[in-house]
This record gives sequence, C-alpha cells and structure tokens, in this order.
Amino acid sequence: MGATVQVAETNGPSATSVETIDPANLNMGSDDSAELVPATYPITAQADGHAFEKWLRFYVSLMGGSNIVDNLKVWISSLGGGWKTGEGMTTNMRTTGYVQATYPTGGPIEVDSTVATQVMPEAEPGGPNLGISGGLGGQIVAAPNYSDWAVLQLDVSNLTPAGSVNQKTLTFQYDEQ
Amino acid sequence: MKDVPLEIIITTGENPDPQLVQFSDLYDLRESITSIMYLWNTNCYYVDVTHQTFIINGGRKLHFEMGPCRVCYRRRNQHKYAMNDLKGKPEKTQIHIVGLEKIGTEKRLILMISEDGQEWRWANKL
Repeated sequence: MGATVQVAETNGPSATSVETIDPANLNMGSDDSAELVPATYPITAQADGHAFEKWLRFYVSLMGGSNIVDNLKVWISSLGGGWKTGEGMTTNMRTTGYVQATYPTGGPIEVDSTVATQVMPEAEPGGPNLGISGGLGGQIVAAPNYSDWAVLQLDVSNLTPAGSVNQKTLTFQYDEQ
Repeated sequence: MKDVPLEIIITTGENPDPQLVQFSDLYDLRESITSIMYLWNTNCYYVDVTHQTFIINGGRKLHFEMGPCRVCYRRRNQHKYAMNDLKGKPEKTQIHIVGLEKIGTEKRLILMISEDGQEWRWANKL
C-alpha cells in the first residue's frame, strides 16, 4: 500500500473557501469553481484577458507505509493541438528562485495574476518546481499534510479565435519512498 | 546502515549465474546487465531485464547505505488532468525506480520500471 496523494483545488475567499479533493478536471474559465463547464463559463477574447486563477495543492491524506513524499513537479505534458493565437498559461512554480505563495484573502482573481508570473513548463522540469513548507527540497513525512500552493492562470488576447481551445493535459508528479 | 557491501546480485549476458559485485563492476557492465537483485531482510526485490519482469514485495522504505553504495527505491506517481474536458477522472499511473549510486561520486544507475513491470528503461537522473 502506498501513500494516498491527491490534487486539491480551493475556491472562494479564504474565510469561506471550498476545497475539492481529486477534481475530475482542471477546466479553466470565467468562474471561480472546480470542475467548471467551459462552454458555460467562456473566457472573453480581449486584450490581456484571463481565466480565474487555479489554486491547487497536493494533499497527502495517508502515508500508507511510505516514509517520504517529495520531488513535486507539475507541467503541461500535452498541448493537444497546440496553443491558439494569444493563448498561454502562467504559474508561480519554478525550479530556481522559488517563493511560497499565500492563498489570497479575497480568493482567486480573474485579472492578471501577480502570483502566477512564470511561463508554465511544457516539459518535465529538471527538478522539483513546487515546494513543501516553502522549499523545493522539502518533504512530507506525516499525514494529513499539504504541499505549497500551485497557482495557474490561462491567458488570452484579443487575437484569440472564438471557440474551444485545444485540450491540454497537466501532469502532477510526486515520489514516495 | 549496512556494513556489508555485497548484497547486490546481478546477472549479465556474459555470466548468466548471479554474482556479487562492487558498484564499479556494475557500472562498467551496465550495457550487458540482464538482472538486478538485492536483498533486504526477508523482502526480495528482483528485476529481470531480459524477461522484463519485476517482482517486489512490500512497500516499506528502502533507502539505506550499504558499504560504498547507496540503494534507493521509490515509487513515482503521475496524475494527469485534462483541461477543457468533461469526460471523467484524471489518469493515475505509477512507476518503480531502483537506483544504485556510488557514494561520493557522480556514478549512478537508475532503472525505471512500469507499474505492471512490462516496460523499463535506464534513466540518467531522478
């Protein structure tokens, strides 16, 4: 039996936030909610347009005989048919100069994120890009516990064509020892 | 901590019989290795490269030093989430990683094996 580790998404202002553990998808759109339907909450093509930020964490609910959970990496493992014009994704995750993010009092925002300022990697990072307790070399050794926050934001421009963007795949990777 | 450096057993194409070796021998023979075994109490961890099988017992911590080598075992997990998707739950996969590292040097062997033991590959780093 191994550790039970899932991705958890948090939405809403911090005082009334709602957590969704192991969401079915990470669809992004014009609503601060988990598992949203993109057609219901489309992002309007506009200069400097954005989806609501996604605030995500690894949630370790059970160590299950493992002693350590570490080496956290998150990246876009498939771009589907590629980026549409003006489309992109930013994040707070990075392999150097990493700084732990703090969940915003007012909750995720739909304007340009001041936390997700790095280009989201499109290949497996060479080392961990998400920290534990503020450090990329951190380890989770007891449950329940969380990783640091992974913040994602999808961006569009006024040149982004109408219609669905291509389906992408995000990979969340962790090691257990 | 183990003081005995000879608990790694390997088999190569040139010598089909299992033999105990030092890490330097293992590194030099890496292209012809057909199996790797190491023993830890009653648990046996055995990788048969030729027949692409992998047998593992238990899920306990396996990260210790034995003589001049460090052997580590870890499970690497991936959760793949779709975006712009309404079809269902994320895909979750796991691979086994067996690493042998010469302490104090840059030499290391890392073997990655799929969850079902049917696919394996050497890796340069964790």
